[in-house]
Amino acid sequence: MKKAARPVEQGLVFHGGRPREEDILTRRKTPFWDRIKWLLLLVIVWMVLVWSLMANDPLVGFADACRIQVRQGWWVFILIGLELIHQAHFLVSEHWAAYNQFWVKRVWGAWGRFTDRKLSAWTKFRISRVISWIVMIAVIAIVTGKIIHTAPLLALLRIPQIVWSAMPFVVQIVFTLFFVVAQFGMLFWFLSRGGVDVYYPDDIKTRFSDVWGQDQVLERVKENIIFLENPEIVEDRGGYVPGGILLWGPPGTGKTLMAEAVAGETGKPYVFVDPGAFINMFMGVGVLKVKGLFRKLRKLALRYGGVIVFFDEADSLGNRGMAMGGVPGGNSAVPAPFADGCHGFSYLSNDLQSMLARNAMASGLEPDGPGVKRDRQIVGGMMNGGMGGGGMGTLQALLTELSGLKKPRGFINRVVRRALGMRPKPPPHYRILVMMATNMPSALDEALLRPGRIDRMYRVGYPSKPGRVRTYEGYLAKVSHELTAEQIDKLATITPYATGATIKDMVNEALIIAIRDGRDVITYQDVIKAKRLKALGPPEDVEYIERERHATAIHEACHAVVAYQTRKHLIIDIATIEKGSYYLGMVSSIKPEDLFTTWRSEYESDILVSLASLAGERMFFEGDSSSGVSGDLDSATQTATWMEGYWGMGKTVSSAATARRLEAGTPGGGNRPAAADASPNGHGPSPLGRLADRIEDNLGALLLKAENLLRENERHVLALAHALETHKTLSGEDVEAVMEGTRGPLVDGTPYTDDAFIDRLREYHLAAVRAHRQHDTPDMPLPVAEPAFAIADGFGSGSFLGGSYGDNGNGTSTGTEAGDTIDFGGFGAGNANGNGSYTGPLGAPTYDPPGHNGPDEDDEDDHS
Amino acid sequence: MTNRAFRSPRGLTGGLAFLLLGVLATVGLTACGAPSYTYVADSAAKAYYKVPTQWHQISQKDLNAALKAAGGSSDGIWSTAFDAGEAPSGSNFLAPTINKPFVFAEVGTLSSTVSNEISYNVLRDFMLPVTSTSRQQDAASGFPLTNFKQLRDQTISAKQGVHGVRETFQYTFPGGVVDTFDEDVLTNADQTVVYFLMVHCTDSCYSQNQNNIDTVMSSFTVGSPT
Repeated sequence: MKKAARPVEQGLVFHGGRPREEDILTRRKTPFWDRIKWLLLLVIVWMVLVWSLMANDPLVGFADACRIQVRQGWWVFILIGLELIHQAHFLVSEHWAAYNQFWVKRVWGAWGRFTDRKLSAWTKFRISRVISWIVMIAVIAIVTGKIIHTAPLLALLRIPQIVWSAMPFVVQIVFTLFFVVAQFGMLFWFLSRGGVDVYYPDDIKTRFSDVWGQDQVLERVKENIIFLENPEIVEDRGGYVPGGILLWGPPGTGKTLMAEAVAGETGKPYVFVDPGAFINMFMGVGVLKVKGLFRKLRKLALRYGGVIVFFDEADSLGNRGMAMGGVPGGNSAVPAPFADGCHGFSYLSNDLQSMLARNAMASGLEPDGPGVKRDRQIVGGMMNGGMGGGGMGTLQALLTELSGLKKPRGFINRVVRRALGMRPKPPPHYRILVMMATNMPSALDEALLRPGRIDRMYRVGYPSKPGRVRTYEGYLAKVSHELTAEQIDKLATITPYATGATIKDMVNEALIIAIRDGRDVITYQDVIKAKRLKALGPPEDVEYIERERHATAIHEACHAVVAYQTRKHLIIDIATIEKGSYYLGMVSSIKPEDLFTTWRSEYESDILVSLASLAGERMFFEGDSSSGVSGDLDSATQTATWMEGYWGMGKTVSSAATARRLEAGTPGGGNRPAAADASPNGHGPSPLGRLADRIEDNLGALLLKAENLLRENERHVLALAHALETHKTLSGEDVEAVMEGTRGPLVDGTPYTDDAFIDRLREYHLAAVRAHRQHDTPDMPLPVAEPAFAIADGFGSGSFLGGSYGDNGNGTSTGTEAGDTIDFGGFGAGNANGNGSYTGPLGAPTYDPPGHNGPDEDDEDDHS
Repeated sequence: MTNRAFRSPRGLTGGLAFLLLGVLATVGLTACGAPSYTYVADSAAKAYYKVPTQWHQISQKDLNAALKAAGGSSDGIWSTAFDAGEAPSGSNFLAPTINKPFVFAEVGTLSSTVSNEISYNVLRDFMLPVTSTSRQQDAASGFPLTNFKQLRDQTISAKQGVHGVRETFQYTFPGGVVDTFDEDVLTNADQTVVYFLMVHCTDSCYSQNQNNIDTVMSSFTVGSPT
């Protein structure tokens, strides 16, 4: 039978290797050099002694010198004898398994078990330190004794005398060197201090019960305490205790508080590392600091059986390979694992995940949503230097220290034991829990986050509504208040992205407002005032001229009416025409529920709300429109673009961002016309139309829809504009009251059900339009609703929480990170477009109030 | 595996042989016994001599007492003494009837006056009167030793400008005992330090220990070993 041909080996063939330690019963064979090196050294030492004797006395011959040194250098022979016994022991161990096992298991093993049982790691550490001191003192004593020709013990006693007699010389040296060397030494010493604070168990009062609204993370963190207290739970079963936790999430969500609570609950020392601790002027100081920190941690860990080290704002440690830095506001490019995408792309293969992460890091073009700023700053990465403060090897030192907790340490342990042919002892088990907190996880070095260094990563996100309720209750419990459970629940609802920090701040601000009014008890109104104040700052003391006030009110009313009629995923929080720092007026909305996805219908209604201002201005001001809609259009265009090009909510499926990055082209072509005629270069027409055209088409259709909605709700627009002009600011419930003709908490909406009153509002509007056209004041005053409702002071201007501002002063920012919608209206002076032209585009709607002659008589019936 | 099995015993044998060799070498060196001589050195003044190991060193305390009794002083000088007798004692320093050699050595600094006036004759008369002038003066002042007999008068010139004399002579003590004295008296080039070595015992003792005494006297070395 023909044997199968063996595959040809490529290169040298490796047969076996070093057997594993536990598979060898005898001692590893000692190399010849290691066997004789000490003997050789001792023989050399003895020969040196002989030579020294001959050199010191010309009469002494070699033979006599040898004979004399046999007597005088007796200690060398003792050492030689010991070394011979030592080597004999090794030799036998190398060839006699039973003998070796006896020593390894019975003698040293039993000794190790005995010391482990009888002595704690801390005591062993202290004993080893005492022994090293004794050895050092003994060496000094022997050497000094030899130098001054006396007994070692006497020499030891004479050392102070020698030092004292040498003092003048020493002092001279010290003075000479002091200003040269000592300066640097002191400088570095001082520089390597600070930034690390140790709190001992009783110093920290924070407990888990003080952390509210983060129960899901807290449960996980508590688990780590169990491990820190009883590591045997895991270790006895063959596992290991996770040694590192990263808490990441938005600012103010309680990451630091949680770490403090961990320290407070465990009764272990808590080492707080300042974010600026590793920012240094000189190269190497950071490394010294890291080494010093871990020396301290190891000591504390031994002494107290564990230690917690907390790196606050861990992003300050830097990142060696970051291509881009974080940008203000935290909108840095987020790698896939931290992205808000579906499951963080975890459903993809590893290769694809890492490729997406790399692309995201490299390009910075991955859109997260319409709220994320596109104009990301990309700054040059400090390659090999790290971002932030942790440059110049600091991060590398930290990485090494984190990994090096299980390596043998100490000069005697590593060098002396090794030199004596003994294996260095492994270090005691340092129980160090590393906690880090950051709101920029993408700025952390990848190597820092690997399991073994940071084993667990917990996102400390915005608290859920029950969490917010609990947080409100917690902070309100510390002050006197008269808020009902329903009001607290409502507060939690209207502050969807409030964090522990913002809630604490808001309650405190409310208390200050109450104190300012001479009260000790906080009311709901105080909290609402505080909420507005925190979000918007104090309103500017600006009075509009009447026609501008009316135009602003119409603008905002259009937003509010369309929002009220079409948008169900958001509810109006505040509508106001009080001028703030960056806006003339606004309608802000909040999510009534904790939602994490947004649907096409919802985006369409968002666009409708954005376009309502343009549609309304054209309609109510006879085709005229202002530049105040620029922000609204920006928002609408962005949303429409995302929908059409990125979210598959239009005619095409592919992602325009990806297609552009990969240079695949976009569906419909970049510049190809949608028209049927073929272009000269031979490309046929696109059946889909190019992206920009599709976006425009979608927006045009939605603008038309907004117009129709406004036309149908003309009386509501006027009513709401009137309410805004009268009261400046309306809450969501007041808007509802005006729309439904009911009584709101502050505004009575019943007069707006009166057709006669609505007619007066129409007249006033026409007067305002005339004034607008002639740049004059309206010839009639603002009608007063009867019965007039006494407006309680203190709810005069809008507020929101968690939203973001358009930075052009009159823009709209829809679907921000916080999820609210704020429609800013008004006529920002900074806009280069100036006022809109009277000559609107074809098909611009016109306002034909019922009861007045106009082209659209049908409306009269609708609103009469 | 065969190879491995073969190698292990060979390694063991070799190792054991090596260890045995080490042990033997150590034992051998230790068993070689005592050195032939006791080497004496004043490292600071670089003065060296040797005496047979069997001779016993006189303790510094005894020696100082003996020097004091003889009217000398031990302050500021380095001095050593060896006694070959079975009952070594500092009192044998200038004792008349010692049957075993007694060695005395000292190194002292000379004052500038003496240093300027020093000559070979001064060196000869360093311990006992040797020159005729000195003997006559001492005899006139009641010096008890009589019957001076010069056996050797030799000038020495060594390295680094060290020079001096070696004097061997006999004196008769008042009891009629004849003692032989052998002296090396040296000084350095600038004549600031005097190095002195003396061996003495009875005439018969000197004859019997001639070789050892010569070894001791000739070993007296002054100056850097280089």
